[in-house]
Amino acid sequence: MRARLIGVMLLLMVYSASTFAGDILVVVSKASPVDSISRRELVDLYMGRSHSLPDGSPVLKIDAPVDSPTREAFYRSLINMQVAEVNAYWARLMLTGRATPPMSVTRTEDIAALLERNPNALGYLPEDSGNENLKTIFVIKDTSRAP
Amino acid sequence: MKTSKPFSLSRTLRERLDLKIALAILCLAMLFLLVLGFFNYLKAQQEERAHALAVVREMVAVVEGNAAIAAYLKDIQLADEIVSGLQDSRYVARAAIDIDGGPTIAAGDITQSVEADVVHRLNAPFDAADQVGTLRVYADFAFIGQLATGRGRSVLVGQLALLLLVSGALFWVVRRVVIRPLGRVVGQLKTIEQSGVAHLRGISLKSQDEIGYLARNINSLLEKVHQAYLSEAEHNRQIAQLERKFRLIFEGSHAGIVLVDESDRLALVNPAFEAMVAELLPGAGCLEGRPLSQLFREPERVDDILAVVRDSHTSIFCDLMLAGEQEIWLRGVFSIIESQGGDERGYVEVVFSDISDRALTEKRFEYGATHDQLTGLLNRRGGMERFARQIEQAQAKGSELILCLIDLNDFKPVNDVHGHEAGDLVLQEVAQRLQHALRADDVIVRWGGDEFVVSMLVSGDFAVEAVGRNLLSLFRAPIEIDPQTRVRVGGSVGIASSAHSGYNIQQLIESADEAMYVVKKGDKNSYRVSGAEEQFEP
Repeated sequence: MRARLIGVMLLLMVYSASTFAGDILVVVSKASPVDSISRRELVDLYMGRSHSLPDGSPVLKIDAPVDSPTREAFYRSLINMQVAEVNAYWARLMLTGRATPPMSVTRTEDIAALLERNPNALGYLPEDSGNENLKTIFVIKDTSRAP
Repeated sequence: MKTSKPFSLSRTLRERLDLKIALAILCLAMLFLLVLGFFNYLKAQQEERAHALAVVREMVAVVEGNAAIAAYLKDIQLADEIVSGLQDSRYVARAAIDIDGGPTIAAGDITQSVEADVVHRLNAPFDAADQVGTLRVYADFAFIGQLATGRGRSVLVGQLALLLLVSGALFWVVRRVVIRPLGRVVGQLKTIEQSGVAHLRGISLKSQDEIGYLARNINSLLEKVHQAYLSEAEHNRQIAQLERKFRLIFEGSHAGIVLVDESDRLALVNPAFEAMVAELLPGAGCLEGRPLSQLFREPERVDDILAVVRDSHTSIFCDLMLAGEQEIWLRGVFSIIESQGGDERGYVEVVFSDISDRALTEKRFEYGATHDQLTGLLNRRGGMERFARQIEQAQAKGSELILCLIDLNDFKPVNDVHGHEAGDLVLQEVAQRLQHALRADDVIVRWGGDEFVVSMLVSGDFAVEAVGRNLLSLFRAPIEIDPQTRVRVGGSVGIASSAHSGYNIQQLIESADEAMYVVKKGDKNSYRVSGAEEQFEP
């Protein structure tokens, strides 16, 4: 616990300059037929309840790297859970195999590349990492920012 | 060899106070226990049920998250694991998860029962407002009932044990505090009853409670009873001694002693009296109950004496002759028995002594002493006695008594001329004439020599004169000494009356004597009444 706390503190120190602050954009390839998605649909997709997009097309969910502040912010804003909790959730469901967790990338830059290449893929990015090959279908407001 | 009586529970219970108390406590406690146990059982069952439901709710709370996830993901395998896990619990009979928009995953047969004991709404893990399913759990009430029964039974057993323990303790305490001291009192009382006159041993008991008080009270009571017994025994001994003495007197006395009841019958006779009257009643054993008077020749006299004794409360002394052939005289002393008790009221005690020989001689002697041998009239002594009685009679009746003194005139010449025998004849003739002339209850006395005294009760104004004339008339006829010889004697009569002289015999005699003397000095053959002016002549 203490080690974890120290770890979190170190992380905060490392990313202090670039500590994530701001909205998170849910993005797909420009070629994707999906133009928008509801928050609930987003949750159901990422938490394993839905296996396809609202229009019925299959989907590839991409998660930010495990330790990235983006991933942290995404889950906190979406379902008010920490990454560790989400991991535990998935670990619980591993055995049944009915639901599968999103695919995790090792680097944040890989997300954009994966999305560009795959029209069925769905991912999220920090708001400042704009990319003209992608389209934003949902914006998660930064709940931690002071109003 | 003492034969032991067969053991009887009911008798033992009746005789043993401690067992009685213990049994009563036990019975009452059993009753309370039954009632209490019933309610306790009900309460235990309720509590067990509530507890079981609480446990089930807790389990539901534990699996709630997973169940919600299972419902959220429609993960049938996960749901099945969860309901199976729930059913594994002993408190749970059946469990089911209804997934909204999906199947119902159940463990156990849920179709038969409609209402689940715990129904929990399953919300989406990431959105509390979104219901994704329902968790239904059916508690295993058969098992809960078993638990409740077990608990109720254990409570009951515990209380029963406590009850037995308390009963036993009470039994022991009662035995120690009440029964043993009581038993000691009873035991000592038993030995005291048997100890009799011997020195009284009190009950010794140390306790200060009610039993000690009882023992002390019994002691003082016993002491009193003992004292009373001792004094009573002493009293009885004295009475017995006295009775023996009295019996000795009564049985051994030579005097005949009888007790006469209020109806003049013999109530008690002693052997001496039985011997006295034995000849009268040959063979007849029992004297008691016979009238006393029938034993005597003059029964009415006996009855009179008894009546007088009862009336006057004095003792009367009297000689009586027994009925029967022989002349047996008994001297009896009659006394009333003064008793406070009601039974002997009017009883008269008579003590008889046989005076037969003495009585005969006394009778003869008395006759000689009171009568004139020549004329058979009373002599002066006998006359005085009769006068006294007559005066009493007169006084009692209030009638007049007269006393006449008669002195013969010309008697001395008869004696001198014809001799003493002729004189005696004259005296006898005069005596006879007096007896004929006078009434039976008049008293005629030869006063001495040629003097006679008569006294009588009279009534009426002229009675005195009539008497005087009658007396003088007795001398009119001549007296025949022998067929050839007749003599004539006269009489000087002096009369005294109680009207003048009072009821005093001496005074009457003196007055009569004075009057006669006056007549003697005068013309002789006449009479004079003392206190009267004239001298009467025939």
